[in-house]
Amino acid sequence: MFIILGIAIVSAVGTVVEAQYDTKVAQTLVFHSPYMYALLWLLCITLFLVMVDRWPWKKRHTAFILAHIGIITLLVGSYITRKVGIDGSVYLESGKQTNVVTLPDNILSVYASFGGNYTNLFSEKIDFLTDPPSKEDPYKVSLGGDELQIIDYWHFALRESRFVETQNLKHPPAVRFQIFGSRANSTQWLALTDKKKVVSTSLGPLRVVLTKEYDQKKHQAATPGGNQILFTVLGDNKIKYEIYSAKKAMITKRGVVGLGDEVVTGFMDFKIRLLNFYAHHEEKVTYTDNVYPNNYTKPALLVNFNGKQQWMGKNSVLKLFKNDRAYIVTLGDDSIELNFPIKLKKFILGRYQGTMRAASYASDVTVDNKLDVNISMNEPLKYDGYTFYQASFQQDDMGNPVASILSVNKDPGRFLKYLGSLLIVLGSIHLFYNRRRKVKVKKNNEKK
Amino acid sequence: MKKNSLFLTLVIIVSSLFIGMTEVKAKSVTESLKYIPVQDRGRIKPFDSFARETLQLVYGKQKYKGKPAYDVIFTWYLVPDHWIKEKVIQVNHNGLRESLKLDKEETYYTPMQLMQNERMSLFFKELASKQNSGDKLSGYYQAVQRLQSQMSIFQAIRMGHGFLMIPGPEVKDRWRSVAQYNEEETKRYYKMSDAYVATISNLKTQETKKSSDGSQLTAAINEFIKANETNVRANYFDQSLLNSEVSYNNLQPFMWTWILYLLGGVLFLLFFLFKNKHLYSTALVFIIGGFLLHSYGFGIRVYLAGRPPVANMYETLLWVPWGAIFFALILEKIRRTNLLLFVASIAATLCMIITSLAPNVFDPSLQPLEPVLKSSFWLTTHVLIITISYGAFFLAWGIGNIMMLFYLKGEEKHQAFLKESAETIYKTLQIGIVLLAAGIILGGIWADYSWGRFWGWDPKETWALIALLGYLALLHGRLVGWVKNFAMGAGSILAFSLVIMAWYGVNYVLGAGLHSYGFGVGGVEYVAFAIFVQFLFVAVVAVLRRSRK
Repeated sequence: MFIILGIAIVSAVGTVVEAQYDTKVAQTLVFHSPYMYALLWLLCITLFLVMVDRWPWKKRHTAFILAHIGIITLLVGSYITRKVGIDGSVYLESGKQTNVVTLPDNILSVYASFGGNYTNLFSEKIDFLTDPPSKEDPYKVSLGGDELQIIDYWHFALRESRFVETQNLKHPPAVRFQIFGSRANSTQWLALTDKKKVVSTSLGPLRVVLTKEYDQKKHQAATPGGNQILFTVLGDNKIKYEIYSAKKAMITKRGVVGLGDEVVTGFMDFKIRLLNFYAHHEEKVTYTDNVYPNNYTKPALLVNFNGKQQWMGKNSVLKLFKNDRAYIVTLGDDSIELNFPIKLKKFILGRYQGTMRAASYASDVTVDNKLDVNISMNEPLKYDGYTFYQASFQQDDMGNPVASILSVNKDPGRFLKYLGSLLIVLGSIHLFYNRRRKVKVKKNNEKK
Repeated sequence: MKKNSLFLTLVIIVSSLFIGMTEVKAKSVTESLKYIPVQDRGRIKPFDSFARETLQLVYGKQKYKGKPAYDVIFTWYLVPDHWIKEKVIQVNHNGLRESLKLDKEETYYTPMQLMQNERMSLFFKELASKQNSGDKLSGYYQAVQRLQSQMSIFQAIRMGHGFLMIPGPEVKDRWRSVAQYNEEETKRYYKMSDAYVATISNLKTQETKKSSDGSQLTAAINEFIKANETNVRANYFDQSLLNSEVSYNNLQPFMWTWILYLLGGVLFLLFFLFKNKHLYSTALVFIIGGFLLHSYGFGIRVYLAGRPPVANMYETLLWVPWGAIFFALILEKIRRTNLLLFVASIAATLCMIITSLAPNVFDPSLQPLEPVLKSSFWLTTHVLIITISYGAFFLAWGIGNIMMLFYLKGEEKHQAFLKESAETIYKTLQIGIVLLAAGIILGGIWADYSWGRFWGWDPKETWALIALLGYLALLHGRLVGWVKNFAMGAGSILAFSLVIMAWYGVNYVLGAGLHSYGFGVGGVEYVAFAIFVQFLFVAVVAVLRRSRK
């Protein structure tokens, strides 16, 4: 009884953790914690001992034995699933094929280069959630002569990037502007990069474009297709603007704009104002610990290398230099490759009438280049020991689906789990049946 | 000019009507409005349902100063300038009222007043950024969210975007609203509203009876619907479904059900006091009548929604008492304890009163299912079985409480009764446990089949398991003799809080996990208080009992 209560209490704590953080944290820290395993083992042993204690078994013990064996079988099955089963997901873009299955574990990798190609020096599964690194107890990666240390870990870090002005003349320009009127008010950055010589952003029926003077003729993108406001950077301290109206098919206004100046656009009652102008900018990335998850948080590591400490988020790249060597550090998802590819032919999204609410979704896929199947909610595909389930999908800003997400699993413990369930159900039905017919026997039992 | 003056007279007539509205008659003459099919939130419903749900959301009630919802909502578009100055927007949240600098003595505000409130749009922006980042919404922002939907639906209707009354050529198309009608369609729509105005102004001035009977309005509505069928799509809605929904709305079967259950319960109580056989049979008649009505209400709901009624909190709150009464009737037939039916009728009344008291917390509207809930026999079965097991636990809870009362009255005199009750609890818990275990396992099988995992420590399944473990502990304790009669009664009361957590708490307090289709907000403080009172009650009884010994 105390074990039952113990499991109940630990589980209850787990759900609270889950509500505050997310499923992964609750799973790692509570449901798959050593305490929980210890409790479950204890339960199995107790159940076993109790059964041995009733030896030799009589007919009236049937229900009791069935149910208890069932529970043990179920737990063993679950343990097998946990240890050797695979539970991952496949990200399928429309019309493309892949055989990569992403797994829930994180992989830390380091690549090195001595001027030439990068070679993989280090790749290992890490679990900083259960075993977080610290300054006193860092996670060490030795790289030949150098050593890299992970000295801190945030599970729900927020990446923030901001633009700062720099004196380095090689860096491209950036501007921040505000568009405002009675119907909208929006502030945005536009920043050129080493590779992108024209950048733009769309604000409803209006496009704002930033470019540099010398590129303008080369790049067709600056030619307006609709209503457009074009900023052109002239030298280090001047910005020219041109307003193009699609209706009139001509440039309606042009001039030079300074910091804080307001320009009447002529589109509805919108005005545009230049808030910042950096002739040369740099992107500064900072991480903060958000403690709780939201859509933007991801895990981040504090890397200590060569006396310098830098934060690095998941799925981003950190470049480190020492003397003639360059290292690249990444934290990514663990993955495996299937022996066969899957191709998404078509993603079918049904919606409730007149709404954007999904009513059903399904993927038309080709497996192994030969088998055409439709995977939908509650209609999984079994192939080569794997089962593929329609899990979710991704859509663009307009709400059109662009990719399908399937969850994939291989579960060797499934048979045992089903067997266990069956035994429990049989046992409890028998128990019920038994009790109803032999009320007196039960009462005697109770008095013992 | 002419149009303007006509409009002005219209405004005057209608607003004067609403100011001194007393007619009860108006209900019946404009009733045909109810039957206009509209598209709303993914399904076709009668204007009656649309109006009730809208008014419920905005004003928090299904009537405004005695006027039925369909009259109120229809005139939001007809005479928006009148309504913009009426106090129709309900703001319940104290903090929100404070930060909007609204008069704290009131709960209802005019749309005008709120539209002119500069802070409101600021809060909406904050809400949008919270929603984008996926942060959990606090109670305050949930209130902001409600205000936003209240304002946006009022504005939509006022501007003519609210009534989606003309279908598109395809089933999946979004229907068009008044603002998008072509000239012919607009004419037909105005014919309806003119007929409406004529009908109620005739009522007001009490002219000839002939024109005030609403037939003119009915004709205009029929013409409108017919034109849609000829011009856009034949049979664009199911007339019989629509009619049943209106009659379902009119009948309010679940309200009558709990009234019958309550009467049955009271009669049972009288029977216990006076031991009159007639009282017993009358009580039984009331409860069976309630049960039949309950089943009928369920049937019609299933027919309207085209699915089993277990998709949200409201529906399970109706289903669990159904289960409780069902078990009680069966056990009554077998054992004739009388007690069970009494407990069941009280428990059922309690559940169902809650649903009618808090429609904003437990949304009674019929809504389409999430994709994951569709087309699965196992899914439905596991939910039905689990929730019905709650019905059994509910019974045990009721008996437990009655036992506590008898312990207060004095233990010695009622030994036999208490022993009998503990036995009954044991029986009931057995039923509950078998059902709950089976339901949890079925849920696992279903999850394995459609998601690929048997057990994922999802809060809903975990709490169902916790409740199961709690009751199992109780039963095992009883078997080895640790749990005596008193502990059995007390345990069945305390363990029921686990059921409440699994049933209500996961969705309304934790709000996490995969069972997200049943999530909602509100009522937490009341539920917590009720549980607190229960624990206190058990504790007091336990202490008194000890001190008496």
